[in-house]
Amino acid sequence: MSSPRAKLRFRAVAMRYDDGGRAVQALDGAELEVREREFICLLGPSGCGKSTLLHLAAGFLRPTAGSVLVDGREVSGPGTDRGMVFQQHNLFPWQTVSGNVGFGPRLKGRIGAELDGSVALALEEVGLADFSEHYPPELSIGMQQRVGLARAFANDPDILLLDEPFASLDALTRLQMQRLLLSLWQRRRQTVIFVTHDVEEALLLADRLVLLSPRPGRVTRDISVPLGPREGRPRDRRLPELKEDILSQLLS
Amino acid sequence: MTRNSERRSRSRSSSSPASRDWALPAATLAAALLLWEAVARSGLYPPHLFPPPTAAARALKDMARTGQLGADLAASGRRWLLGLLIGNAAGVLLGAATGAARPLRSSVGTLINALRTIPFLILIPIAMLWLGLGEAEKVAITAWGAAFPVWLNTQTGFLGVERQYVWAAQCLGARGARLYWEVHLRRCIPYIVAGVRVSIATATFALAAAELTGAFEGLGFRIFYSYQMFQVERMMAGIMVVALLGLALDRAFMAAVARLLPWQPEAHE
Ligand SMILES: Nc1ncnc2c1ncn2[C@@H]1O[C@H](COP(=O)(O)OP(=O)(O)O)[C@@H](O)[C@H]1O
Ligand SMILES: [Mg+2]
Repeated sequence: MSSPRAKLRFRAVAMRYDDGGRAVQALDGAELEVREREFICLLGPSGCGKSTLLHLAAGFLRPTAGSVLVDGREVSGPGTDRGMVFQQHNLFPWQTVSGNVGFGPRLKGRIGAELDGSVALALEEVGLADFSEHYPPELSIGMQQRVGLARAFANDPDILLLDEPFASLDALTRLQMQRLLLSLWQRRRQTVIFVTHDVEEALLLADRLVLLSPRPGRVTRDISVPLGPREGRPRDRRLPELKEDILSQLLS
Repeated sequence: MTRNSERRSRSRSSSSPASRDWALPAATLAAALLLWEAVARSGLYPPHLFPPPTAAARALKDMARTGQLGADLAASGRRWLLGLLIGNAAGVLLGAATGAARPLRSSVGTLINALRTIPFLILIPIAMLWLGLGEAEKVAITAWGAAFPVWLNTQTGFLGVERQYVWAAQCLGARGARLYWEVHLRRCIPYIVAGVRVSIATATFALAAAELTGAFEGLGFRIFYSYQMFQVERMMAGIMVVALLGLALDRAFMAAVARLLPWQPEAHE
């Protein structure tokens, strides 16, 4: 399933923020390799630099030391090959649902029926065909994150960076969203980094879990999920034990 | 979820009968006029210094009949609209520039901040010296008054654009001028709207000051001229027209905003 080639690589990455004159070392010596088509979940205590890691991969920020490589080339800025979903302020509130989903395709030069068709299809896939002319604030948080997924997938990136996209959803909605994400992902198997603080969510979604230390963040554990295909995982008997194990590692 | 329910209650109240939205404002205006009438008739103050609104209304009818009111409205309206458009356009452009680039904020922004506290009355002699006694000078003063609130609000909007919006747009392929157009400017619209709303009033203040000197028609001119001629009823009539026009313009502007910007509840009242 995974090729040996690293799609995304963090090499001795350090990131120091300047917080009004006070230096905050968010990451220090972070090493991570993500293979093509691999789905990894990033776990760690709050404030340990998970979001920072995603922002570096996306090219929003440059590391203060070390390097971030995509396909072996150093990341120099944001690009359409890497899609992002944020937990908050994700959708443009001044555009309708279809305006949001069509944003990327429109910038790529798609217009008219071709654009409308691709937007309609993307909305169909997330079950929001009837909401295309609504504005994001009119939708529930769960629906907004559906649109966020549709927008990211509609732009067809190679790498998806998801920053706690389901963190503010209720348990049932979160389960539905996890299924939706997997069904969208399983078609093209993009390389995914998914940040979560929900260990069970990580075990249900990922090929591999990566644990970060408290700030300054470094990768402390790298665990291949020893469970079978994703469809069977919710009922797997090893799930509770694994969850306990990983939680205790996170807390230690 | 909270935003969601707010939104719903908002649309419910806007779908209620229009009469309910108008009833309280209209009643308030009527009550103010009644109070004014009562105080004026009480004899507390000599009526030639404090005429009742009915007397002002009679004077207004007179002014309308002779065509003077129409001419004054046309003259002031032209200056006001032109000044407002020029001032607002300049305000948005300058605000976008100083909001987007820190060096511009430290240089141009500082200069604008120094200039914006100068009272209109002090600027008028300078404008008359440089632009002559005419329409250009009055439009320029009006534009000057209209520009600052829009500049300040646009800059504030630009500085507050959530980084997630910018980043999301960059991931979707937006950069350079396109990014500013698609994200920053769109995100700033509620701020620009609020600035324009304030500028409707500040442009009026500026124009009134400009019509004090070197004008021979216009509402501001009429009010001061009536004062000098001791025609207090006409003065009050002029003031009433300005106040009601200001109110009507603000209402019309907000109604237009509600129609054109359904996506930003903050931009609505
Ligand atoms: N722009 C910033 N300026 C200053 N400090 C920051 C900034 N962004 C993040 N930090 C700090 O860096 C650390 C890591 O942040 P973040 O990557 O958001 O952590 P996480 O996503 O794991 O909760 C935190 O202590 C946070 O306060
Ligand atoms: Mg975070």
